[in-house]
Amino acid sequence: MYYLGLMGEYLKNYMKTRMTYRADFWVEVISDLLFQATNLIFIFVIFMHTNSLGGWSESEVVFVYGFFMVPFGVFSCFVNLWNFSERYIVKGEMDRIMTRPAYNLFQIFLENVDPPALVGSIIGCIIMLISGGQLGLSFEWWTIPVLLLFTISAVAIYTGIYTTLTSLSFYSDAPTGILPLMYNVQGYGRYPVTIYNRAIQVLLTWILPFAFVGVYPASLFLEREEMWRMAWLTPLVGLVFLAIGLTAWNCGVKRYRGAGS
Amino acid sequence: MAAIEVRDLRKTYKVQKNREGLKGAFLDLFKREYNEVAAVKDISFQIPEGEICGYIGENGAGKSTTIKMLTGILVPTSGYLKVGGFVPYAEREKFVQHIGVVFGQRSQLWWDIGVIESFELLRKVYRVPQADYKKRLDELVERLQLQDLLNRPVRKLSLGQRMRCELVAALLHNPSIVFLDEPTIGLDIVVKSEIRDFLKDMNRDHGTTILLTTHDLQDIEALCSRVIMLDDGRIIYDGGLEELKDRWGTGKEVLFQFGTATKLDQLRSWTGTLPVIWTAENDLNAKVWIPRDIGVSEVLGQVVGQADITDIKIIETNTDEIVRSIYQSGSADKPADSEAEAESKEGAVIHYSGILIYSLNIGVYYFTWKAIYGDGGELGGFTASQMTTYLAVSWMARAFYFNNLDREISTDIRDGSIAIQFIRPYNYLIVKMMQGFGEGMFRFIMLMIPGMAIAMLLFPVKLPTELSAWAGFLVMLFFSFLINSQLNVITGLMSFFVENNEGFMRMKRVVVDLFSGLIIPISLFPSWLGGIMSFLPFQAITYLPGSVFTGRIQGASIWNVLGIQVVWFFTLLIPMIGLYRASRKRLFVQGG
Repeated sequence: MYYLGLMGEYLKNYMKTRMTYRADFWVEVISDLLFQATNLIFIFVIFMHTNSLGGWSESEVVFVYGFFMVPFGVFSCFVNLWNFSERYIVKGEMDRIMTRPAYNLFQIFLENVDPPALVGSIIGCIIMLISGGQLGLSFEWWTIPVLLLFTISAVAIYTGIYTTLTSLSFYSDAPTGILPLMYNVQGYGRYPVTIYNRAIQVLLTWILPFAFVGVYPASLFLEREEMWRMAWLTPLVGLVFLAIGLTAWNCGVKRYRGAGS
Repeated sequence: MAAIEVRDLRKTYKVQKNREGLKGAFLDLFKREYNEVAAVKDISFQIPEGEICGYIGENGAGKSTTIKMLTGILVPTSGYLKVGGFVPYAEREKFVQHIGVVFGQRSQLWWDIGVIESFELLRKVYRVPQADYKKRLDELVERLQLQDLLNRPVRKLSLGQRMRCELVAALLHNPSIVFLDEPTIGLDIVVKSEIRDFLKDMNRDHGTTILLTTHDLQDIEALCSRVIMLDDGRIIYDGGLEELKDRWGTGKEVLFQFGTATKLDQLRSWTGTLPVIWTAENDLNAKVWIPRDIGVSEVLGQVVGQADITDIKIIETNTDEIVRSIYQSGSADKPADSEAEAESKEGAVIHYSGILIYSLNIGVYYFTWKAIYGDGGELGGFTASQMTTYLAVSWMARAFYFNNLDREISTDIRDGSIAIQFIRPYNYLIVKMMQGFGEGMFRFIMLMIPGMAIAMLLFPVKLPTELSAWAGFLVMLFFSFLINSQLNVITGLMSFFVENNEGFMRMKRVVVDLFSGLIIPISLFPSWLGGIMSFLPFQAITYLPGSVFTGRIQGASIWNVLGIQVVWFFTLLIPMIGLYRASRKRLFVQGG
C-alpha cells in the first residue's frame, strides 16, 4: 500500500515536470512510436519476400509482435535502468537513495518512470486486435485475464534479467555496455523461435528467456498447439527470474562503495 | 544511552590497479589487479544523545566513508556499529526513518519541481502524518525564512537558498540524529552563520544529536563541544575543542601598545626568568609569546604596573593553525600501507560477453534469413551465402563505428560541464571524435576481429579474395565511423535546443540500425523506400561497405560508392559546424 501510494506521488511529479516541457513529452511519444514502427517495417519487408517464416504467416508474426509490445511498454514505463551506472554509481546518487526509508531498487524504478512508453502497449493491443481479426481468432472469457497474467509475468522476466545485469555495475566500476547489446537480443523473442538452431532456442528459452516475453505466451492466443505448454510456463519463469534479479541486486547493494570522498 | 556507538569499525576497498601505458591497459583487460586499501582502520568512539560532534580530517582521511557507514549506505568490512539503537546496514529502511542526512555536495530535492512539492513527496516517503508535517514545516520555514522560496523550482535557487531547503528536507520527519557532510561548503558567510545558528537552536530545543564533517573550522568552533579528528583512517584526537587547543596549541601571543617609547631590553628585564619571547616592531609596539604552561596573567602582572600601556590584545593560536600543524605532523609519520593484492577477472568477463552477444546477434539473423530463403534462390541480389557474410561483417563493423558520442555530448550539455570543455585549449568536437575513434579502434582489434573469427567458425561466412575489396572495405569502414559520429554529434548538440532529447537519441539509434542496412539490406526494401534511402546518409554507414565486402560491388564501382561516402562526410560537416556555432551562442550555465 505504501509503495502504491509512492508510485502515485512519483507519477504526479513526473506529470508536473513534463507539463513544463510539454514539447519534449510529445517528441518522446512520437520517437517511441517510430521505434516500434521500424520493427514492424522489418516484418513487412521480410514478408514481401516470403509467405511464411518457419511455418508462421505474416498476420501471426505481426500478432506476436503486438503482444510483445504490451509487456515491453509496461516494463519501459516502470523499470528504466538504462542510465543506472552512470547516474547512481558514478555520480553517487545512490547515496541519497540509501538514506531514504523505502526499498532502494523500488526508489530507483520510481525516479525513472517513463509513462510515454505506455503508448507502445496501447498500440500493441490495437495491433493484436487487427491481426487477431484477420486471423479470425476467437475471443474467450479468459482472454483478458490470461493476457494480464502473461503481461505481468513477462514484465517480471524483463525486470529480473535487467536487474541482474544492472547489479553487475556494483562489482565493476567500468561501464559494462551490456545493456544496449541486450536490447537487440530481447527482440528475438518476438519471432518464432523454432526457426533458430537448438543452441539459440535453449538460450532464448532458459538462459535469457526472451522467448517468454513474445512468442510463447502469444502462441496461446494464436492457438498454436506446439507451444501452448511453454505459454503456461511463462508465470513460473517470471517468478524464477525476478527472484534471481532481486537476489543479485541485494547482494550487489551490499558491495556498493559510494562515490567521491 | 549513546546515540552512536562504534567499535573497531573498519572499511576496506578494493581498488583497481591500472597498469601504465597501452600495454598495461591491454593486460588489464585480461587480468585485473586490485589493491586492498583500508579507508577506515578500526576506529572506536561513542557519541551520547544530544551532543554536537565535529568530525574533521584531511581529504581522504576517511570521514565520508565513516559517515556513509553510520547512515547505512555502506556495509562495514568489520567491527561493531549501532546508531540510535539500530545496526544501520542491516535494518536500513527502518533505521533511516530516525536519521536525517545532508550531503553538502549533493541534492536531496527534485530539480524540476517546486520546493514545496519535493517536501510533500518526502512526507510520503517518510510517512509523516499530515498534522505533524504541517507543524514541523511551518516551524522550519519560519525559522529559516523560506516563505518566498517554496514555490520555486530547485534549479532556480541560489546555493544558499538551496542549502536551507536541503536542511528542511532532511529534518521534516523530525530525526533524532542528524548527519551533515560538509553542510556549509561553498556558502557565503551570512548563510553559513544562519545555518550554524539554526543547528545550534535545533540541538538545544529538540536535543538532536548532530555529527558533522567540515573543512571550515569556524563551523566546529561555533557548534561543537567535541571534536573527533581523523588521519589516514585512524582517530588521532577525540575530545573537547578547548583541550584540543590546550594540547596542540603552542601558546598565546599578547600585543602591547605603549604611550611612551619602551625598549625591548626593558621589557625583557621585567619578565625576568619567565621563558617568554619578546619581539618589537618599534618602540611603541611590542609582542610577547607565552608558552601554554605559563599563565597570561603572570606575564601581564610583571608588565602592567611598570609600562605606560595604551592597549593590550591577547591572541590565541587559532584553530586553523593548530589543525594545520596536526595534519602536517600526522601525515609525517603515516605508516606505510600494507596493501594486500588480490586478483580478479571481472572486467574480462564483461568483454567476452560482448563478443558473445555480437555473435548471437549474427546467429539469430542468420537463422532468420535461412528461414526466409527456404531452399535457396536470391533475394534483392543477395545469395544466401552472401547474405550470411553481409550480416556478419555488418554487425562487426557496427562494433567499430558505433559510439555513444550523442549521449556523452548531451550529458555534458545538460549538467553544464560543457562549459568546462570550452575553457580548454582545443576544439570540443574534434576531441570527442578522436575519443570515439580511439574506442572504435580498441573494439576493432578486441571485438571485431575475434568476433569475426567466431562468426566464421559458426556460420558459412566467406571472406573476399580480392585485395581491392579488402582495401575498399577498410577505407569505407573509416568513413562509416566518420558519418555515424557526425550524426551522433548532431543529435547530441540538439540538447542545446530541446530540454530533453532522449527521444531523439533513441530514435536516431533505431533509424541508423534500420536504414543503414544493418537489419535488412537496402536492396530488399520496397522500391519507393529504397529510392528515398539513396538520398539519405544512412546507407553509407553499413550498406555500402558491406556490399563491397561481399563482392556485390567490385572493381571501379568501389570508387563510386566511396565517393558517395565522401560526399556525405562533407555534406554533414555543414549542419554539424552550424549547430556547433549556434549552440556556443546559446551556452548558459546552470546552477547558482
